[in-house]
Amino acid sequence: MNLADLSKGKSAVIAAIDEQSLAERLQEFGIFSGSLIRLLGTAPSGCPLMLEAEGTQLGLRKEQAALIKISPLD
Amino acid sequence: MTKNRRFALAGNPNSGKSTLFNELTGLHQKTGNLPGVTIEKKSGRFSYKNQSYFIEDIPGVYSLNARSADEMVATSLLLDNTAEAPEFYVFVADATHLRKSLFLLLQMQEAGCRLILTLNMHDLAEKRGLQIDQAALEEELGIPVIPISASKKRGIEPLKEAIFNYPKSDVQTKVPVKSKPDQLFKRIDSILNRCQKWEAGKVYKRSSEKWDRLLLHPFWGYVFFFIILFLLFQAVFFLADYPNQWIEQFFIITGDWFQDIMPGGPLRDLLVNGVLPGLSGVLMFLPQIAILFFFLIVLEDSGYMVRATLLMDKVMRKAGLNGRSVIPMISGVACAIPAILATRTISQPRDRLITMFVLPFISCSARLPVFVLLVSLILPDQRFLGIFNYQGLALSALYLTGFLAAFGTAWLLNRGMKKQNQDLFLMEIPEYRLPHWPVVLRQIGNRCKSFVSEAGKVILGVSVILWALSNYGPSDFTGTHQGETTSLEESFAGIGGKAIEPLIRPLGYDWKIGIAILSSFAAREVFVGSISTLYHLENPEDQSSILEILGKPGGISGATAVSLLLFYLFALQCASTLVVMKRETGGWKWPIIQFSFMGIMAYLSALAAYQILS
Ligand SMILES: Nc1nc2c(ncn2[C@@H]2O[C@H](COP(=O)(O)OP(=O)(O)O)[C@@H](O)[C@H]2O)c(=O)[nH]1
Repeated sequence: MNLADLSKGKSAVIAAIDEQSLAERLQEFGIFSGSLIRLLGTAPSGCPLMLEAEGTQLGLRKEQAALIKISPLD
Repeated sequence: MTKNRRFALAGNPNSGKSTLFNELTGLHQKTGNLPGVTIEKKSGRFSYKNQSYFIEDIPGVYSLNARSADEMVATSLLLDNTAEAPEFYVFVADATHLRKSLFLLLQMQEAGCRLILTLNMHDLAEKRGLQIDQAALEEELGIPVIPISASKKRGIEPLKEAIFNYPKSDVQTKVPVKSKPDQLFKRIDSILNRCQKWEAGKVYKRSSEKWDRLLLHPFWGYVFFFIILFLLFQAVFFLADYPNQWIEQFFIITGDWFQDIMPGGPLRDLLVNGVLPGLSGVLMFLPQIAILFFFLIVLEDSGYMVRATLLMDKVMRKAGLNGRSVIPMISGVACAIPAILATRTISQPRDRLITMFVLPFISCSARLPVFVLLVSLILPDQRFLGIFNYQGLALSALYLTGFLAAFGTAWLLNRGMKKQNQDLFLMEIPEYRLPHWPVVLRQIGNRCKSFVSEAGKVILGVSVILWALSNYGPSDFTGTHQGETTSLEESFAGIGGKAIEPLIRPLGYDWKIGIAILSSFAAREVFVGSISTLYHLENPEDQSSILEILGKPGGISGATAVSLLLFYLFALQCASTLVVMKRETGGWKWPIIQFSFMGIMAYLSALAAYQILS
């Protein structure tokens, strides 16, 4: 399962980030594999996604979110 | 007084650096560089206890690994190894987001920067029940830590004291950072564990989510976005009209005054017909640019701009642009120059180039006077169905066409240019905040000042050159001169206009329009002045208004007017834009391609219009 499949308002734990530069950028915000991430919503057209992790809110495009593997809680 | 000490402000975006900078330097600051929207090099000075300080404000970044053009500038300043490097850095951290700030701070520390840490927004931290143990933090980091509230003017004195007491040292050489982010964050988390506590029972909830439900709503979000755009256009065009008229009046009066008190001759002529119109040409833009900057700064500082970028990303990408192109495209309505500079935030070089390339299609405020003159020539100032003004509709159609041309060209370029790696589109969404008005006003002032000094030089210079070209001709040098002054027809400009006449005849233009087009390269709205001078010179006895003169036979016909409208809509007749493009793209290649592309498009559409209509 990846981040693009997460439904609105739900949280998950990041399992792996498949792309190096994306992983690096997220690391600068203190977001790593193992971080809790929540989907706040999406922009009106379904992309980009609005996420919250480690106290930071981020906008991320759907195709990049698809590179982030997650394991859902519960 | 002893020698100046130099230090710089560093930190994440939105941590309050501009506010602190403003608080420290007050009036003693200046902005280098052209008026960009997010990037400018600000420096200033202040003194404390007889020691004077020189401060630089470095654009905010999250880390030392730069990706976009503006981040590159910032990190090169942070890692400056030259003799000009600041002696130390005052790091501005948002106390309510300490974890993120400490990452850059630790990177800088490892790189060898000497630092003072200020915990800004201390008022907010207190309100939210966040307690930070200053002494423990100092111990962990080994640097002075000062809690402040830049916008509430609290903690400024202790900060100055800490700066004053900061030990002098030679500039350190900076080294590359080796620690991996996960190592750094492990350390950060252990530091925060020790130094940061939440008051029991207080849970902070971001207020932004409530607002975002409305402002990012699938329907209302767009409605709101277009309302803001509408207000911005209204303000740029209608509010700016009043100060514009005052400026115009002022220059007419000053011109008449010089005309009266100075003896006739080339000097008076240069002043009255060359320098003053040039100056007024520069200042006429100022109200619009100030209003535009006001909107952009408020939208940016309040946090709305990021939402607008998110909202428009998908739409803009369809056209080969980028969510970050929205701000430049909006700025383009006032002037292409600040718009081009605003593209520096686009990290993907390809997207940035496409955005810069299509920006001049967007009708800037310099085109407006030309449009108004020509539209009033062909359409009555009447309404139909009681509400729609014919002229107003025509103007809207022109603006819309400009936007469509920009999007269409972007789409073409996007197909034609080699694809690059996926753009990493990752933006922090800040919380909404009320702008701090003194900073907003100061920023507007700074940007207007640099616009006048930078773009003004070009416009003024070209005006004076054009004045010389239209007042002197070969006969002034060969001695075959008859009468007192050179007539416009015999001047260099007249000869130029005549020379291009065969080229522009198919578009329905004569040599006078040719001169007006050439003179527009200073600034497009010069067209209006040139046309009225040229047609008045032809009929010195005729006291009718320029519109009446142009409406008569021998003036500008309907077909010619339409053809001119299209020509001005598409052609890149702006020397300043070309100069800025050259600087931003690092060579003449792109400005030349852009100029030719837009020129051909302008020529062909004007040709088609005239041939069909006449
Ligand atoms: N509550 C509070 N807000 C502040 C403080 N300092 C700055 N701000 C606000 O934070 C926002 C960002 O500040 P700015 O100086 O533009 O940050 P910069 O991007 O780092 O230059 C502005 O809306 C400021 O008014 C502070 O001490 N307390």
